[in-house]
Amino acid sequence: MKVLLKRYMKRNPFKKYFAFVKGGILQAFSYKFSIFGWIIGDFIQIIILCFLWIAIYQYSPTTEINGFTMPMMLTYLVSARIVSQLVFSGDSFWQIGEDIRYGYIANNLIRPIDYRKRLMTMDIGNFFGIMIIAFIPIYIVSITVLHFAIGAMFPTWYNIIFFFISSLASLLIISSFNFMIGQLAFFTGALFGIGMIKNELLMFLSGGYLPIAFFPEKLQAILNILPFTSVLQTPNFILMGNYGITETIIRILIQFGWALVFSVLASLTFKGTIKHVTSVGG
Amino acid sequence: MKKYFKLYPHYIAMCIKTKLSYKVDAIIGIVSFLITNIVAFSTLYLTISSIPSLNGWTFEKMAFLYGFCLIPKSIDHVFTDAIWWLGGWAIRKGDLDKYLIKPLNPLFQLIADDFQYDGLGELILGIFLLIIYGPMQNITWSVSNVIPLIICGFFAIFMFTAIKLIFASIAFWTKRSIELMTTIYELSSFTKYPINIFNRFVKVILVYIIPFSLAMYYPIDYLYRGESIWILTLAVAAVTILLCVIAYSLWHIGLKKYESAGN
Repeated sequence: MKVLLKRYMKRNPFKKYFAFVKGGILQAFSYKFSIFGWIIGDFIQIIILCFLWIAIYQYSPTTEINGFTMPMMLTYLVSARIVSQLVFSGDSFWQIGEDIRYGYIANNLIRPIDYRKRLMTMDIGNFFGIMIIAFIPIYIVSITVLHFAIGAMFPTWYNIIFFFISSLASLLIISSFNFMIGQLAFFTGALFGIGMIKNELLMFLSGGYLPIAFFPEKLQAILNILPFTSVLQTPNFILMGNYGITETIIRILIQFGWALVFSVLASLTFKGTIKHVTSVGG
Repeated sequence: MKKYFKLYPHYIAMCIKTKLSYKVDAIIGIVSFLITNIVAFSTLYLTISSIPSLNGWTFEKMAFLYGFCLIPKSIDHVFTDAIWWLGGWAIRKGDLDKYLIKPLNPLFQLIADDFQYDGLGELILGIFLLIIYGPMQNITWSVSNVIPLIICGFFAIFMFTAIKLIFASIAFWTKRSIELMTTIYELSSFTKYPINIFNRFVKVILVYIIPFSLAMYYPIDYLYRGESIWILTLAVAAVTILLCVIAYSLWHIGLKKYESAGN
């Protein structure tokens, strides 16, 4: 039996990538310090947001603004910040960017491991790592505080499961997206700047700073066709219980559709990039 | 003193030359901070425009305040960004050594070491907002309200620098203080909003302890209410000078205590 299992493991093509999932988890654990830095940096922003929105509802002629009541809005904003740390937890952008910049990419291409799969499995590992050390504790504390302060609802068990699937789909979309953008390292060394532009626009267009319902109608129509809202607003709304079960399932299917599209796009662009590598090598 | 004025342009020129060897990178750096602030500003716009006015604060008023806050922050960002490095890892790595062996003021060398053009993105947006939203205010612009605003803005630059230096100098004792620095620096975000929406605790901190609001929010608030800004300007100047003295003393004491990493 043991021998059989061993043989099976040898043939299992996924096995070697499990090591990267594990590596990703451990990598996330080693970022404890930066997570701490993020919490206190974001904490002030969240406080400002809460004060601002409480005041806005105070001076609003209606109790609902664009379909959001005050507790809903605060829950949405706080939760979006926390969920964003989870779905944007992948490291692909920096990995590929630095590999290109410092020339490690050549080494990585001759290894008997698919480079793209390796980065994606590391991202999945990061996702689980961040979920355990940051997302779960911070979310539990925040939702409990919000529950007692403004009567926010705790998520139901099935929404938690749906959220988990949905946020994993978001991670896959972002992982491919980062992989594509990271290839810009061939043309510029300003990875920090590109990363910042990418993160800010992603956060804004995916509803991380404000629900899409607050955007001008024309922009909303455009954003609903584009994949951005799938990335953050969808898992966040699922966690808040804003969708019925059928809508949840449809939304998750759309997410996986986008994940597939982006995965193909990333592979295509990478094929071009590899050619560039050989031409540089001479 | 004259020596420093002569040397500073050389330091900056050297820094700019190094950085401009990658021109595209420089442009991307500036654009990235510009975009970050445009996103933040659009969020504010979408937020405020969902209601008619926030306790008498229209969007135009808030946009002007936003622009006014950005300018001192960005100027400080451009010239003194190296202070972050002191709070981050300079102490642990023993990197301060190189400033101690030259016959120049170490603080001057630290600050002159970096010219962070990324901050120009914020500066451009700040000036742009003032130009766009300045004429939209219901205010008669005259020397008696423009001059004190400029003076307040000028002192606010040094307030940023002093507060950054105070909390970076703590790293002389704790080896690393960048987390604390980030938190304190982030407090400056409060000044972009009407202070009355925050509770008393926040107000006390922002006026008496980390007085960002005193230098950036209140001048604009006084301006809107048509009150004289001169006395406030005096207070801002006094507080900023006090903060600079504290910052420099703390840096000085810390530097004496500093031992290089290693032996």
